[in-house]
Amino acid sequence: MNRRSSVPGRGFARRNFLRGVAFGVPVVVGLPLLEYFLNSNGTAFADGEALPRRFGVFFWGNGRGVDASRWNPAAVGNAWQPSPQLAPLAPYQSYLNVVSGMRVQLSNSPQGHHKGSVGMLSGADFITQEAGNAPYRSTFAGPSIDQTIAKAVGAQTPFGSLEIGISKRVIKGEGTTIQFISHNGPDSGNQPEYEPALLFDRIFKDVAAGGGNEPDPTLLASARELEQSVLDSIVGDIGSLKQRVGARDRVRLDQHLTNIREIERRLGDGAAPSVQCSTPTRPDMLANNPAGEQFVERMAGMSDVLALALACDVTRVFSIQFSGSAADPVFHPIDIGNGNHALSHEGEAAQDELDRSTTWTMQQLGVLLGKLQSAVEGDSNLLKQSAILVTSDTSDGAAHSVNDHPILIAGSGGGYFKNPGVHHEQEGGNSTEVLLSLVRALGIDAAEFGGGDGRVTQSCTAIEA
Amino acid sequence: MKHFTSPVVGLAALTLLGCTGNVLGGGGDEVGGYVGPGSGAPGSAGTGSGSSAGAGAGSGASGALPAPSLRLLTRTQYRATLASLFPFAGELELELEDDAIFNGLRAIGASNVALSPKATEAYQAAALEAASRAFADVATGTAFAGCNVAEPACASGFIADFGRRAFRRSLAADEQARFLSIYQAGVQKLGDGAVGLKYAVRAILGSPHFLYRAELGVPGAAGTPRRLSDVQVASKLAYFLSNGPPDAELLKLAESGGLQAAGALAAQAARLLGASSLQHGMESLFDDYLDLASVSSLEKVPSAFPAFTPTLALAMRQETLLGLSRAASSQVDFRSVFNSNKTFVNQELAQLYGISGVSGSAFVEVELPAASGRRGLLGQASLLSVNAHAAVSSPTLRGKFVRQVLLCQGIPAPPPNVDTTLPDASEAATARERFTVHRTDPNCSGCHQLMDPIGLGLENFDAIGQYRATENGQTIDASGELDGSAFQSPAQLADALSRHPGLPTCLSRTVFRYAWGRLESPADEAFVGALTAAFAGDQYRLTGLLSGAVNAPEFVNVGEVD
Repeated sequence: MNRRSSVPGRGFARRNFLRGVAFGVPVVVGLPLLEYFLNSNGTAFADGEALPRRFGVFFWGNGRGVDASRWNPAAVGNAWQPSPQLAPLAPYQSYLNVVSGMRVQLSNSPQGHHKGSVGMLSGADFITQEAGNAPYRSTFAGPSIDQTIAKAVGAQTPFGSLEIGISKRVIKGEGTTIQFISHNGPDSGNQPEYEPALLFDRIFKDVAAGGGNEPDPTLLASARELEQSVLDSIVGDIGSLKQRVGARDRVRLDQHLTNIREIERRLGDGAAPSVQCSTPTRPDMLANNPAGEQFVERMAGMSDVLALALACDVTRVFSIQFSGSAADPVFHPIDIGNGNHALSHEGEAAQDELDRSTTWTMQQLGVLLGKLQSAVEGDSNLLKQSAILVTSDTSDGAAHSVNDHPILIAGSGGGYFKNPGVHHEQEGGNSTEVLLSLVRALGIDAAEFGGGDGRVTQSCTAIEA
Repeated sequence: MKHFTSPVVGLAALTLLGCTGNVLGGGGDEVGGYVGPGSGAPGSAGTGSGSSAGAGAGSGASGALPAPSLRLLTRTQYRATLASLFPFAGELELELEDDAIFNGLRAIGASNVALSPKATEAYQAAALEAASRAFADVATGTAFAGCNVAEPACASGFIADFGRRAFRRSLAADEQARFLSIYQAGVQKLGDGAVGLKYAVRAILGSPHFLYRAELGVPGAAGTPRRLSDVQVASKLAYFLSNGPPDAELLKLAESGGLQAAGALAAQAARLLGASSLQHGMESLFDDYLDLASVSSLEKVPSAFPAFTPTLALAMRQETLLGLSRAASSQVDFRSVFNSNKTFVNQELAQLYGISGVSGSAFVEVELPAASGRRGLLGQASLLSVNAHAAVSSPTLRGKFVRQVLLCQGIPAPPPNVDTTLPDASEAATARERFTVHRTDPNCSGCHQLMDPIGLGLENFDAIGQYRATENGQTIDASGELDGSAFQSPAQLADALSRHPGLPTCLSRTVFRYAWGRLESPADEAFVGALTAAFAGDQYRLTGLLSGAVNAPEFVNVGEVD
């Protein structure tokens, strides 16, 4: 998906953006990192800044199945070969680091699905909430790892992060912990986008439409000022309302304010030079699939848009909820006729279906990895520049177990992780160690990560280069 | 539990009987215990003081009311509010985010959820869509504003009126001045009044004063509780009963102080209960109560259920809404909806139910075939489909629905590290056989005894609610027991449910949660108890319950802002 385009030959600094007009005002979107921005070796920008690293999450629900040997490679260290469930990822083996044996060590977070979700995505206990009539309800106590990273690196790009969903069948009645994977904080989940065309629109629509004619710069500058006055007005209203509300609402309004600021950040400078990015192509809206959810079509479309967004440096952080925790997607493309969560509690007879589900889920992940690997960036590629946490809410969903949790890092984090990757086995190890490795891979100088029993000061050095 | 004496005792017994003890271990207290939303350190929830549904009832108010919360407009409220401002709003293509559902209700989610960046963008985009159409050019803008948009006096008057309707209160002087200055800047920089008003309207529609209902109250007179201001009362009343903003009469009355006159609020409630807008209010209440909208996002295995089409899913929701709305407006004993032998069907739904003689997409009232045992709400395909899996029915989900949603009783989630696998169809033909382990394994039986026996009474209805006499060749045994009432068929289950004392109690709790946008706190228990008693004394008319909620001092009381 790497986009090449001809660009006027001089004067472009590191931050060159595709520019367009949105809401009647200029907006900016990053350009693909073209060769001539880079130094002669293609290893960094001409000004010496390293190629950016990207972080992603790929999450699926209900674990790998009962038999760990279907997921864990037989051999450890360098000599590992993909297990049956990881076989679809064999083409990308050098970019994979597999961590087995670790567990989510949050003794204060009961409930398997909730515990595994919050543990693998934030390393800290969730907040148990008043459930009302529901069996259980919880929310994240703090941000999920993608938002921790987005807070640190997101201001460098037009979008702090992008959230993508593949299966819509998620559990909505037990709080945000198992409904969303991306969290800004308590009761503040980021709803994913399910439609590739709408994700495209969110990022590219206005710049795609705005290409060609150069609008009158004076008008653009005026429009920009007016746009700013609208946002200023909203910011002012949030501020005055904030003085009247209680403590919890102040947190909610702070998040609202943050969101307005992100929109504000995207307002371009009307005086910036206009450059012609190869106009990205909008995917079609997904057609209804009478057989069920459009998993394959959606994953393919989202992989295209996401690879483009990363190549254009629109964002450096993303998360993909392939399927929901404790949820019941019906994987009809592989001839499975019952919901995945239901199957996880159907006993021995369903183990083959669960095994095929996990293998197929990795095959779907492979679609994205393939796009990223083929997107060249200098002497690297997007897969090499990315670190994608691939994990689930449980290891064995039938027992709601979070022992020997499935953890995979796809992508080499721009050289932070071993390449070729290894299989590291650490029986009973604290799974948060991997999260600490990931935030450090993204350049965050963190001494520790997680909370409660999940807190670590030691990262998973065995997979670090 | 053999003899169900009262909801409170019943629930306490439920807790003691070990749907916590041997099953939940350390995490067992999350079923109940009032904890302020969002509060509590990790793992600290639940005080063991009993469930929120049981604590405090009959013992008088205890503790202070919880702090009031901003209530984000739900999707349907946002659309209704937009429609009150723009006649063309229904034609706009908006990509609003889904409502958050907390404690089973969107109404509670809206009081708690923090907006995501994407949701905020969606509101900005919606504001742009609406404003751009209303002020597409000078002629269009002038027609929309009703005066010449080039005239500052026109713009000023328009902003005052539009802003008041958008914020459900008159604009403050500084707000008016700010929006007018945006208009003026638009005129100055881009040269026409329509552009100026477009930007001003976008600032209004993007404001938190538009997006949230700030029913936060004002300090009461000395020694009296904090209470909603008159315009906040108007807003709470209007969104409760019509799921939309206060109409002109109500807003005018509130702003003139007339709502404080004796009987004025009751009169407005009575007016809205008789207005056509009640339909919107009822649909929103029932959609929230029963999560009916989820029928359309259900997935059923096509090879097994070719009848389950998108139009059938819509019809299922429509059937339930029609029946409930009719029961509300015709002022019958609302418990009758749980065992009625009549319902509304169109042709597609009639075919599913095996009823002949109905054609077309219009709904008609029909009598249900006696032989199927299909009766009342639990016999409706909407709820039978939602509370089932993609391929098979689920006695557990259906029983859980009855306990949680219809009786307001909490059921804990399955404990961790318990093997939850069931035998498959090759070993056991019917669900009753497959679910035997739920009744015999002590790890399971504590909770599943509360759910499965109810759901097994609905096994004559498959995963999309079609009647069946047999499963895998075996005759279905639909007998069971609901809190001391034995039944032999779904029809008898429906009768037992309609007589269950927990049913009206839970309905009044649900109405309270919906209208207040939060769970009841211990301080609310006496009021909720009184509501239930009045509901009973009023022959269980739903409109009586709704007006009873409004015509009480509690409707306007709020806790202190923390």
